[in-house]
Amino acid sequence: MNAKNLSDLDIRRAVVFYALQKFFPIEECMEAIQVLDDRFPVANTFPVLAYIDEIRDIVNVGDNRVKLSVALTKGLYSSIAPENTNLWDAMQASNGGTLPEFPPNELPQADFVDPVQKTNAYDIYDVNDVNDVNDVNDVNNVNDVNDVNDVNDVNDVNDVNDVNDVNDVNDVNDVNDDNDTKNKMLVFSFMLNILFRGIEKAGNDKEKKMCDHLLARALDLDLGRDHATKLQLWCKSLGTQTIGNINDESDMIKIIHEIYLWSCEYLGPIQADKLFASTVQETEVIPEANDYSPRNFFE
Amino acid sequence: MHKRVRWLFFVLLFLVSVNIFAAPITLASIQNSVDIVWIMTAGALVFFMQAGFALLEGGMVRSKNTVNVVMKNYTDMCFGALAFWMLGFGLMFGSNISGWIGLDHFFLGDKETTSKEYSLLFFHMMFAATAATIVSGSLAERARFTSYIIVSILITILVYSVYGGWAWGSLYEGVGWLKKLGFIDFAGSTVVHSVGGWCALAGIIVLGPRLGKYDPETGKPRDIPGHNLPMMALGGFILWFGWFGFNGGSALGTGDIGKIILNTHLSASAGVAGSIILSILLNKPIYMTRTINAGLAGLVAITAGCHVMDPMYAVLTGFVAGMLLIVSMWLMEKMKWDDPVSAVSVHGVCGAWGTLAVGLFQSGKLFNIDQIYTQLLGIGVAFVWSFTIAIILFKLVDKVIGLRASTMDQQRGLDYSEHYELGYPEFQRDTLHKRKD
Repeated sequence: MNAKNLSDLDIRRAVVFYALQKFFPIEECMEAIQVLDDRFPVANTFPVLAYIDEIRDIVNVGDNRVKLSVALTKGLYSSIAPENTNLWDAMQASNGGTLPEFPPNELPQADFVDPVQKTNAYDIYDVNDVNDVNDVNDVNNVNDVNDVNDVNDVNDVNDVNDVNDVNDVNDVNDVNDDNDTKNKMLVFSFMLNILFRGIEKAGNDKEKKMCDHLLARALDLDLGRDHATKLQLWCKSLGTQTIGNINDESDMIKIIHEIYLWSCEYLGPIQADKLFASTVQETEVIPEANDYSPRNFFE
Repeated sequence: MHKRVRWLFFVLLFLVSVNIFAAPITLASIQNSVDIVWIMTAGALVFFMQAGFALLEGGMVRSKNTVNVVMKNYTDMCFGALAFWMLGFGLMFGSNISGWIGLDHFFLGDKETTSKEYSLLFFHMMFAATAATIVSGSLAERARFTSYIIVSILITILVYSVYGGWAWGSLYEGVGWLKKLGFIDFAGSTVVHSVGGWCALAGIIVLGPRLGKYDPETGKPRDIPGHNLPMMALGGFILWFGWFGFNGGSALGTGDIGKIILNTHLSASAGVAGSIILSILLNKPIYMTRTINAGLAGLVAITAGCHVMDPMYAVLTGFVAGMLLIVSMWLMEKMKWDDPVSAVSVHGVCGAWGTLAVGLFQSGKLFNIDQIYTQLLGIGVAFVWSFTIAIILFKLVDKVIGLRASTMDQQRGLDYSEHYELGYPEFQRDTLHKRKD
């Protein structure tokens, strides 16, 4: 999830307005935004379906309920966020003026992980990852990457040009890995939050029990102290924040497995299957799921 | 042209007549031929019961595990047949001087093997497959396929064939020690069904319940309904139909099959009546699944004594079995044992009851104490032998290659995780497997 889209109320307004105006007249959207401010004033949380129910009297949701829900979900949870938070003000000033499209080249990156510090230092691990080296289609500097033979010849330190080529490859790999990790974490975090809401709906403080269970199992799962702490923070926020930088896929799988096991035991196997199936289907809607399928967590 | 054809016809008629009259036809040879035909037909009916088991068990599990259950039924029959031909038949029916174990007629089939021997091997091969397949339903939705097949083969050889030798052996020299004591189990209430049921119980205990079957807070069982109850009902019908061959064929001839098949049918009907009446008395819903299982309970119970009971007592045996089924299912849940198809109750418990009923209701020897004692001994020995060996086998396989499917495999369903196929690919939206593309 992109925390920025939720935690900043201005951005949240803009994103919601942008989604609403695809379906309804501007005046109705303005009223719906008022509901957003009045009924959901707290940042970090935004139950999409509850909001749609709230605005049903203002706008004619009708058959658009699902589409609207998807549009809002995409806007709020995807890594794409409007750069200009004055968008809302500009729109208000124009009182119904058409919203400009977000300039794609200026979109900020999702803020899940600390940006990778690019150095000229030689990263032996990335060079060994030949699969990543092969993934050169998205890279602008294709010529450098194609020189794979030079990469293999890393012992020849005197050949300065080759070393430069290697550094280029490392940079490309870092960027690819960075994007992969971001997508993975976003999908993971998105899934966890939907699961959390689903478990919360079951009532009887089930979500708290699930968190207690996860924390109790954190050590058994061998998540490591750092990840366990992140998990704890996430649980304390009742699933409303990103889960920190748990970026190891195997750890993510362990957590999903544990939640599934818990759900089966405490919600019942039929309910758990329904919850997980709907979670995956909802998660597959977000753009990042195209790059990293939520089904990978069930391997 | 016509003349030539006429001549040819007469020559052929002559040759056929010579061939027929070469071997003298006696009443005994005709009877023997008819018996063989009946045994083979009954064997085919017992084979068809495998389809019944597959449909019954397949319908009682969730749609994501259907392929797995059907595969287990299909393959345990095949491997069971091979194992029985190679070792089982010899252990069970081979020369058994000691009374404990048969020692010859492995890999049966040479120049000296008679037609009757072949037909008996075929018929009992189907019985062995039935004993093994009873286990599959109880382990449904959580047992790994390969592990199950291995256990199934071992059960066929070590549990079923050995105990079968005690109760039914031998066809050659010697007599099984239980048979010698006068133990009566005509078509296998204990030898086939109880043995299968107790092995299933061992598997259930080692494997543990399905995920979420019992609420950890309240301890109450949760309902995990089967995905296709009409399919389950069709399986029940097929099993009932196949049972006419199961019991009728065990006469190994056509002499008494009228009484045997009538008793079989009456007992099954009484089983259904018993379960429905008890459900009404207990103010419980009349479940279809339970009703069909009650029919099977009646069939299992009468299997031991269908040849020696009067129809009135066959009805009583089935009626009690139908009631016993409900009590047993309740007890299973109290013990927190998860049996998705109630195989332990139907086959284990009702098989034991049916075997005891032979001692109680044998025609002309009602409530014969000696017979009751012998029957109880046979029932007890069956439980101790099959349960002990099966629990060792299950634990061993669990330790060596793993018996229980992983959590996520259970979530995705064993159809996909074990076989990479879905039973209903157009409709299954709940499975979370990665798409093949």
